[in-house]
Amino acid sequence: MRIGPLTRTDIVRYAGAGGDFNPIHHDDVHARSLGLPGVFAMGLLGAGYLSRLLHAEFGAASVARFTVRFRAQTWPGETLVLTVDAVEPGLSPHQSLVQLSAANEDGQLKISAEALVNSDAWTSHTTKGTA
Amino acid sequence: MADTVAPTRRGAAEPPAFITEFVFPVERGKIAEFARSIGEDSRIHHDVDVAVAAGYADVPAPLTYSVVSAHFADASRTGGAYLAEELGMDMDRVVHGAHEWEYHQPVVAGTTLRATMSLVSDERRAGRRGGEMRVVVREVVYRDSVGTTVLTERITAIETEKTMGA
Repeated sequence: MRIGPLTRTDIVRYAGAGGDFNPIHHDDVHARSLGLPGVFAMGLLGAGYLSRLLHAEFGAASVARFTVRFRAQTWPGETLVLTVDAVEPGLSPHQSLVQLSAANEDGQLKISAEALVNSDAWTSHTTKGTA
Repeated sequence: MADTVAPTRRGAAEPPAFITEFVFPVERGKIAEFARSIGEDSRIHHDVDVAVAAGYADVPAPLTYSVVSAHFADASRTGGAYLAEELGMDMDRVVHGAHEWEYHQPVVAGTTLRATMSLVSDERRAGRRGGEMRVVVREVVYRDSVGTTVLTERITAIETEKTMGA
């Protein structure tokens, strides 16, 4: 899944929807005063994008746990490439551990993530094509 | 900031320390708005008929929807002000390190969740540049009207060794 190029409008829309009004994400003057080149996206916006990939691949209802680790900032103009990198056995036969990530087009890792997915619900999602 | 406060370090073995609690109403309009902000156009978040046909009581929230609680919580307790004022963290060096959600029950529109935020751990670790970084984990447990845990959220804030832009 590819998302972008990211715009300041995308960031501001997410700020309003989610309630994160840290000026580092919408005020270029403030961001530059901290030595940054400008505003950057909230890590959680990228996490939201990754949740779309999870939903598209496995169905959100099958997700038991979702963990994201923020590795690098995402800047306006960048396009995120979201991938499912591995599907491993979980602790129970009914669960799988899914490794996924978001990177820019140069391959710089932005977010690494892991999801515990209930395989039963996942199967029903993919066969019925619902949700 | 950091040198004027001597916070108690909290190890993972200690019980979580209460920070704050708040009420978080889950609303259809806010779910649709949040879904749109992450580009999630699945009709299940926008159309109650689709949601009911899929077996939900009402429109379900996207997986990361709990961040919307920022609109309903007291930011002086849940936001950076808490980290700065109560824990003495230098916010110019604090980054959002990780975030985790554990899903116990579907979060659907029309329910009112009661959230309790706690400090889970506050630890110093060796940083890659030879200095020290500080890792603070907070947990929010969201319960429904009868007290059943619906969602658990863990937020990791990291005070890095130097300022972000330096």
